[in-house]
Amino acid sequence: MTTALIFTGMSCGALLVAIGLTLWGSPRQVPRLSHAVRAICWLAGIFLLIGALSAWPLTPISYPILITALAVFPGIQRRHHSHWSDLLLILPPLILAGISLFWGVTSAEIKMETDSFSISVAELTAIVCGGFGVRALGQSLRKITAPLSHSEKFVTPAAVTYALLTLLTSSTTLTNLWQQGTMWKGTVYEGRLAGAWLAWSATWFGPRRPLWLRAILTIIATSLLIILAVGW
Amino acid sequence: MIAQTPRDPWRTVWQIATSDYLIAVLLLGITAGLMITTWLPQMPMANPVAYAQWLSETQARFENKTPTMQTLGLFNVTHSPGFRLLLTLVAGILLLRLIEISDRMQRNREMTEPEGEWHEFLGIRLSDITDDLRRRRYRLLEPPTLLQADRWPWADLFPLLAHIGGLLLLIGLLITQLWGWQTKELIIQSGQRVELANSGAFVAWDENTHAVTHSPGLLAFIEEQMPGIRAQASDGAEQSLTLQQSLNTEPAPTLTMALTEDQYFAIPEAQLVVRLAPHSNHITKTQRLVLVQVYRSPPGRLITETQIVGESKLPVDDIMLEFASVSYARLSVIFNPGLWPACIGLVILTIGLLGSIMWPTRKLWLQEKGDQIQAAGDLLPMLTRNREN
Repeated sequence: MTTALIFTGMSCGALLVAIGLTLWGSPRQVPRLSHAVRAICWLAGIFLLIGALSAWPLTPISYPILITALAVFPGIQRRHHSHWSDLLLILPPLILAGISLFWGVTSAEIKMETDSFSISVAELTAIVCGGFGVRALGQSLRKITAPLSHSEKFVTPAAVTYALLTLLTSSTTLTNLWQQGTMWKGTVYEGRLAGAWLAWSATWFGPRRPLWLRAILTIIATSLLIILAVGW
Repeated sequence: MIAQTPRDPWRTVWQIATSDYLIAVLLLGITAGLMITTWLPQMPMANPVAYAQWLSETQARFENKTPTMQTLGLFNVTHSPGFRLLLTLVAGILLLRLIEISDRMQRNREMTEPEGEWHEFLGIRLSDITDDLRRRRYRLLEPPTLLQADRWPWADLFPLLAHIGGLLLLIGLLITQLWGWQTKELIIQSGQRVELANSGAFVAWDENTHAVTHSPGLLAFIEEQMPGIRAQASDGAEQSLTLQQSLNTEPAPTLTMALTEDQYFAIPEAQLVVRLAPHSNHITKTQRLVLVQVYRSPPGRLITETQIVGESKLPVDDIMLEFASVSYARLSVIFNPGLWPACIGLVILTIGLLGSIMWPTRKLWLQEKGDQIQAAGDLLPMLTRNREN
């Protein structure tokens, strides 16, 4: 567990450096600075992956670290010059990495739960959803400052998140209906899953403008998704 | 003086009802309700023991705030009138949006007026853009001066399917709520056939074949298999004695009971009372160590006690008590007439949502002005990249 926290701490440091470089370089328009920032984000992603997998078999503390790794890995967009708004892509994973670090350091009982812990397909899907959700959140925040940039990409993180979450929710509900004759068994997991899916549905079908409103909806939906994936 | 067209209030109401804002607010309202169910312990409805436990835990946790929270329906969110009202509103809004999307699908067959701001692009050819659009499976409408690209009909068809699916799902829920029922905690002995009160349906379970048989249309599944015991008693002349579980039950020569908790029975002719206390450790799924205590009544004095498992005999003075293991199961039986609408609705909803994720509504207009290309609407990545560079 200590290894996981050390690597998470290192990734936090790397992400802080990436944010610092972005802020320093954007008014100066330093050539190829965005490549350096991208490389640092990749490094942070590698640190997080090593941190999460060092505590094999996975423990609950590994979940937010894995989500952060998925969110930070592809880094920022390929561009020659760095723009200050790129930091909004790095900020949500940094916050989540910080929360994971704080949670890991302060929570004693999590360290006790390392034995006989296994991860199900549903949990893994929720983690992947969480990772893409955090990326979608970053893009949604960035869009407020740069509305035109990369606005119409075919496969966006938000689309991947919503598609995966829809598949997870519908398969869980269909299984419940088929095996137990009821959609809703009233478990905490089901409540969180349905809540996260409805919040993403509200974001998907909700108003596209103003952009700040969409960003708020994405923040709510992503928070619920992280609660679902991590089990907080 | 400019003559103002009077606003049609019905059109305004329609626009509000079918707006993206309203559906988002309603969905968030349901989300809030569901999240409350995950944070606050919800009141168990069917099981009185679980209810008593919930009540004591809740009162200990929330103290004097408990009655207020209960009045607000926070401990029974999914059954509260507010939550049901939200679901009803969502169903109504989905229906209105369904009509709106059908109408929009008809209107979108033809070219529409350009919307949004026009952006200008240099160094890019219209033919390159149209090639890109065709590769992305856009439909191109090319009147003489203006080009419209969109994703008709898929971009309208999939949201339509999603709305139909959502409505069917809610109709399934409504049918279940109105005509469905559920029996939990049905304790049944292996080989026994139980008639369910008020419905005329039956359920039977056989331990050897592991099969639960039931009336058509029902769904029954085993929650838990549990041990039980069959007891009988005889006197010194090997005459069978009657056993009685309570004052309200008829005396019988044999008693069979599930060992879910401590069980008591009396042998009136011998003035004995027997207590059977199951041990918490299971030997097998259906066998358990049982503490047997025999009391003389009156005066209520303990005569003997022993632990038994499986078939056992216990002599008490000139009375012989005989015990044998029997298997019980705790079943849940559900009658859900809304199952099929809900299943079909869920599948259609999923197809509609995945389709609308893959083919989101995108519409753009293009026109050539000299060596410039002007574009309005949802710009393609190649245009946004051109603008950034």
